[in-house]
Amino acid sequence: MDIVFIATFVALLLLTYALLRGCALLEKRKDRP
Amino acid sequence: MAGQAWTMLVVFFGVLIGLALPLSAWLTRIADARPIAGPLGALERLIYRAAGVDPQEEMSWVKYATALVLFNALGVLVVYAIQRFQAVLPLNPQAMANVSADSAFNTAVSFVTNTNWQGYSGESTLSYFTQMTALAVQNFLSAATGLAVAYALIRGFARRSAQGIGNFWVDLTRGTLHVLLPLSVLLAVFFMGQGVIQNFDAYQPVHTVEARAATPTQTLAMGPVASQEAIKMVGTNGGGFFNANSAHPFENPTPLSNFVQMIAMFLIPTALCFVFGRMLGDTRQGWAVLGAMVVIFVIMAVVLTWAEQRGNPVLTQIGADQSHSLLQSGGNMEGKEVRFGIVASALFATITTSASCGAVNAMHDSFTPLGGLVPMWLIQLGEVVFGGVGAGLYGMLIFAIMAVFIAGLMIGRTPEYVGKKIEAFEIKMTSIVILVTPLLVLVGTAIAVMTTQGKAGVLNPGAHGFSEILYALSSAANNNGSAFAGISANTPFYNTLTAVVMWFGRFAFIIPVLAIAGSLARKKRIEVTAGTLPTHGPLFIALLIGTVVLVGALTYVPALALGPVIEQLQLQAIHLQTTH
Repeated sequence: MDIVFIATFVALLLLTYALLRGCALLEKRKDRP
Repeated sequence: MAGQAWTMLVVFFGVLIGLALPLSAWLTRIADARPIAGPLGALERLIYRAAGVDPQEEMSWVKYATALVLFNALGVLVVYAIQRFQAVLPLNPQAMANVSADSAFNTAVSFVTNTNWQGYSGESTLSYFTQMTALAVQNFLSAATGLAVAYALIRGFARRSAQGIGNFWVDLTRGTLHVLLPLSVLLAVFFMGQGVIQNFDAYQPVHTVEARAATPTQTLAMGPVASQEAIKMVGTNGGGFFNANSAHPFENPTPLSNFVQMIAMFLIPTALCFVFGRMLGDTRQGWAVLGAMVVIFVIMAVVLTWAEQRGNPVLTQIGADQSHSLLQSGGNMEGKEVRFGIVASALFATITTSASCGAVNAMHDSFTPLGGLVPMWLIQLGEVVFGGVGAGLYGMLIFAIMAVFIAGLMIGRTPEYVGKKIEAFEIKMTSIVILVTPLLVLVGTAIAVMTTQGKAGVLNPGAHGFSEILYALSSAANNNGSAFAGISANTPFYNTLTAVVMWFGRFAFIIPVLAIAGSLARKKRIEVTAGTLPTHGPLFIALLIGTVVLVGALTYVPALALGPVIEQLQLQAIHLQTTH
């Protein structure tokens, strides 16, 4: 069972990272003329 | 509402403000990068050297957020591992078995996210080692994480044309070492003086007073409770050492300990409002934010106390005496400690659900429907009425940004708040923050009520069962942690669902907040002109309250109508039948 929850947690981390990159991307677009 | 309730409220706020003001001066000093003298300052520098941290380094918001998320992710893994191996670890006199994988995962995410939702029962599941090294440690670190984010956002408002929003490692270390640890030591000693236990003994068998009873002996759970109780309250964590939480006499033995626990929950969130004003150089801004919080809080506390003192019409119908007298508290005493009565239970419930704490000294499930709606709605407002350590302030400041945006739309001007222009990027991030928790609550509730596993956990059918699910998901998404109870949540389904909801409720909220902090820090501060909306007066306070309440109402009223609102109408119907 441990592997299931560790895999779930890795998925949560990846989605969180995607959100972070998404926000950073939006910020970069803001700075474009 | 009885005079005792008003007296309690006035004394509570008097003591709270009296303690929060001096604490805010210290919290402001901590936010400053200058080295701190004394032994704790030396220990702080030692930690930086050992960890290879440069305390002078300024981080961009992306770097700050990455450090924060990775640090907390490591925390989840450590807490998970300790629970899964606790049977072979020390300080386990009751020989507790390893925690199941789903429960360990849920608890790990729960304590790292400052939610402290507990699917397990502490005294029958966890060793002292797990309670101390996994849960209590995260009580400190999760609260310090919230504090760090609040500092970062305030710096965003206060700085001009800056690239950084501070250093996460410094904020985390300082919050833990210079604020949470000293306060916790003081509180733990006080609680021990009141009768909270602190030992490593095995559980004690005692003979009950009624020797003829079916069980003439009873086992009393022991443990290092006081040390965990202190940070549980001051860090707005809320996870009880025992299952009964602050209703347990070993966790909360006296009316005085109850009062101090209530103060402890609000202490740092209140002080942070003043820190906001101090760091901006305009203390009126902090008072304005605090004013909006106090107005919402007092209204909610009055409604909850009134609803519980009024009693339950169904019990009246069957002849129960619910009148107030010298011999009894009167009103709806179901699920409440006689030691505390209705006022201290209602005030505690309002505080714990305002403060994102989640400690309970009464059974929220046993409140009247209207009484139960108050804590649930306070959670659903986003834990911005005082809120958790750091989390309350940064949540309320997001609503302040939304409020000035709405005001800007109404008068056709670019919105600005405390000298910073609020532009498209900040509003996009604000929208994410405001939408993420309702999305988690409502989709999570929908999944629970549509699946067999979700419905299997409900112990009360009908509207009340729906309320229990809605409360559980609201509590998880907003990182509160209290439960309505009456729901069997320690199942693989609820443990997984609430873990996912708690994680995103915390970090999908924090990331856009830090993005706003980074964006604001880079901007210049603009001067106040005749067209600037004053954000320290009653007009802004009313606008802020309106924004918080309207967003909360529009988002959750349809769901609340299916739970506590129906229940209240059913009670009213019975009341009308008995009186006509």
